[in-house]
Amino acid sequence: MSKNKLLIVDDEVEISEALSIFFRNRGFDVIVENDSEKVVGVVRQEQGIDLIIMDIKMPGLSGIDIFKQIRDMNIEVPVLFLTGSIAWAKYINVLKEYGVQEYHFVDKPVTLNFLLEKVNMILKNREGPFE
Amino acid sequence: MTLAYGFAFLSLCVVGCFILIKYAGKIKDIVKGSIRRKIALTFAAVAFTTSAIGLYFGYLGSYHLLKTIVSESIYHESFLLSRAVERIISEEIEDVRTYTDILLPSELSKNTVSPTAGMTEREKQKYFSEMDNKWEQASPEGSLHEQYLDSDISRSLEKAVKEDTGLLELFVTDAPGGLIAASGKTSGFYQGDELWWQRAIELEKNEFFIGGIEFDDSSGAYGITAALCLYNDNGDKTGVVKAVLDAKRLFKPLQSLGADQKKRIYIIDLKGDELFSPLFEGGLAQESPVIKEQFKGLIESGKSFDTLNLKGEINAKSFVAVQKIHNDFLRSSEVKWRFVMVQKNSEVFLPLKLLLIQAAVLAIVLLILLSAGIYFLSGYLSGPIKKFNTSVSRISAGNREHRVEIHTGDEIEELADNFNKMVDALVRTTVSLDELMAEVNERKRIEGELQESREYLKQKTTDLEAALEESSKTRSRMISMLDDNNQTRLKLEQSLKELKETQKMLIQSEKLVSLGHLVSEMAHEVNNPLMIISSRIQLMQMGDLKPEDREDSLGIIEKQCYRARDIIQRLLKFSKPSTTGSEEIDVNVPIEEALNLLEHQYMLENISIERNYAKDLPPVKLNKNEIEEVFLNLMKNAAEAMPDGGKITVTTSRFKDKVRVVFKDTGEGIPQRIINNIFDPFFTTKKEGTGLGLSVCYGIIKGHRGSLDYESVKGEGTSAVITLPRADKTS
Repeated sequence: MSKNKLLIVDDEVEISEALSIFFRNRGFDVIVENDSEKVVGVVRQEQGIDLIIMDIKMPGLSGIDIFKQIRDMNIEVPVLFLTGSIAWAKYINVLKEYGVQEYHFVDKPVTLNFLLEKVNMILKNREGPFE
Repeated sequence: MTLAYGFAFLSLCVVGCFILIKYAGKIKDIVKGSIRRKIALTFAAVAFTTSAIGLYFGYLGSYHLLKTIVSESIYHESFLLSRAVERIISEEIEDVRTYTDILLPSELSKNTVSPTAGMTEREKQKYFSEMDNKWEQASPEGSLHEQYLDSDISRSLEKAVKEDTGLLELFVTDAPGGLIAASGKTSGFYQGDELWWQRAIELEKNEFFIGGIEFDDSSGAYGITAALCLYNDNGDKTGVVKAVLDAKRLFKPLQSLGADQKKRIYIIDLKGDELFSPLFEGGLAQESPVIKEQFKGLIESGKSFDTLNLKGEINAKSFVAVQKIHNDFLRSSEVKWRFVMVQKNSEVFLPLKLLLIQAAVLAIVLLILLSAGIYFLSGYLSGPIKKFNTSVSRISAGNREHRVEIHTGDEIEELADNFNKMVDALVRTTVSLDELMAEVNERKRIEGELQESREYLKQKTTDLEAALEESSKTRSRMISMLDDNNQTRLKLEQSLKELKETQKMLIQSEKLVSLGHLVSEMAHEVNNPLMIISSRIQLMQMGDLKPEDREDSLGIIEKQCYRARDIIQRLLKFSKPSTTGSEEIDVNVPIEEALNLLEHQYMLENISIERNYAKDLPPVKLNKNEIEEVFLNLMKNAAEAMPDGGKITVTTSRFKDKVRVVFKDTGEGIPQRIINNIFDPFFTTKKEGTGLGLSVCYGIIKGHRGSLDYESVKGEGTSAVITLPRADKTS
């Protein structure tokens, strides 16, 4: 079985570093991007990204903008939003047409094991019959 | 046999069922997959079973049919051939009788006196033993040969043997048993001690003796002995004639009578225990005693036909047919001959086996072709289902407008239509629910507005009433009040004071609103350091970090704690009422203090500062700590706008009733698209920024009743412009 490939997008270097240590130690292949303007290019170039963990509020492009651009390019990689904002409910309405639901959002700060469970659940669902 | 095959087939079925039950799971796995695959596999399984059963029963039926036909044909052929054998032997014996009838009587009549006539039995025995010895030692040129083998009668016998290829030997003895004449040299002179002779001398005039099939030493071939007794006209016995028939030549015509190379023919003499095959190379099959025993077993059981697993030379399962050879003289001689015909099973069934193989190959080829055909055809069936599946996925992903489009005219189309109806109904319900919610919210809002208007009207009415009352009161008090201006002035001052108080409260309440907004944003901003702290601690707890990294982690955690504290402190500063701790000072003083503070840090490394202070500025009422933070922030921003170095010009000036402070940098300028956002709380373009700086500055300047503006020209730089009211114009 090949490693699952994660892309971690956060303007906070410390957060992306901690997450990449955590996921690498658990057998994932991790790419980190701290510059929001470069994320779309990375997604387009990198082969076989299985999941993106992305902050929402970032200088330059927001996570929501990046998500829309990725989907508009017909790239169907699942995205998990990791956000400190306490008011992310409004984004569900904005992204409803893309099939984004409440369980695609995780609050900062988060228990890393919970995040791992969530990542594994999304990866498992992705292999389901309707994807 | 059929029963055995049936039993084998049944047990095969039982074993098949057992395997099916035991490996049901695995079979399910194999069949698991698309409908096409299931249909094709099921068809293949059914077709395979059907063809296998068909082939099996077809073969079984053909086998039995062929067996019946072949056994019938062999039986009839053997019957015909046995009749032929009878006829051949009869004819040959008739020939012998003819020779004796024509040749012998005239010659024998010349020599009627026997050499032993008048001798006693003892003298006869002596004479014969002497003659036997002489006969054995006689040379071909000797007188004995001349007397017996060169006589007229012997020559005519020799001529008969030469002419008739069925005869090996022919000779005559007199009544006591001594040789009279012969076609060639016999084994002995005296024949009266031979069994055949003793049987022949007892025969009536028209009877024959037939011996078994024996190897004849003198001729070197297989022969059959035939003998008859001679009578003279008076009815006295005058001698015995013996003829040896060449068995192999005798039965040669059988070959042309229908026994082809594949069938073998045997003639068995049950009495003489001999086995003879006229069509066998080498004649008697003496090397096959086992076969002989098997044949005898079959004959003794009384059957005329069977299949035997023959041993010996043939060594194969074979059809065997047995026929009796009837003849009157055979019966009288007590000779028991049987005619046996053999054909190998494998020769009979070879064409059937070839046919079975051809049929099996054809069936397999057809099976593969048909299965492939069915697989492709069943695509027509499973295609719409796949399409259906794709559409359902799209709808379930939230595409409400999408519908399933299937026009196959079958149950799947019906299902798709019904599914579309269901989706329509669901969408209608969802939409109407949304509309309902919107309506409810709209009503609530209108009700709220109505309530506000009502209260406003009520308030207005009350105010109007109060005003009317006041005016009437004023009117009544006008005269007395005109006398007392001082009292009026006091009242006016009181009103003004109240007004100011209200204004202050209003500002505070606006501040509270933005504070509420700020608090929710602050939560977000604080959550980042909290995330860093918590994840570092978790990594340490779970042992994800090397011991040497733990020290760094603690440093990171501490730094993030201070970061959280700073965010909270800035917010506290923003929310504090801003008029406390004010003093009237020259604005140049806090500027210089802020600059000193900055120059002690690394912030201004590549940046030169130009101080352009105006002298004799009017004092401004300032909260020194707050205003210093504003200046610090603005200069930090200016420095950060010039990462490669540059100049900050600080200019202070008097402007009408106000004091103006300008911080000008030589950076890139603020992009037009964000210039309207720069005072929004938490708006930032910096990677490490909180986005609080400018909004806090703005709040502080507003608190001093001043103004803060930015002017920016792309490529030339940015100016932050602050105006503050003079201290004597503040209140």
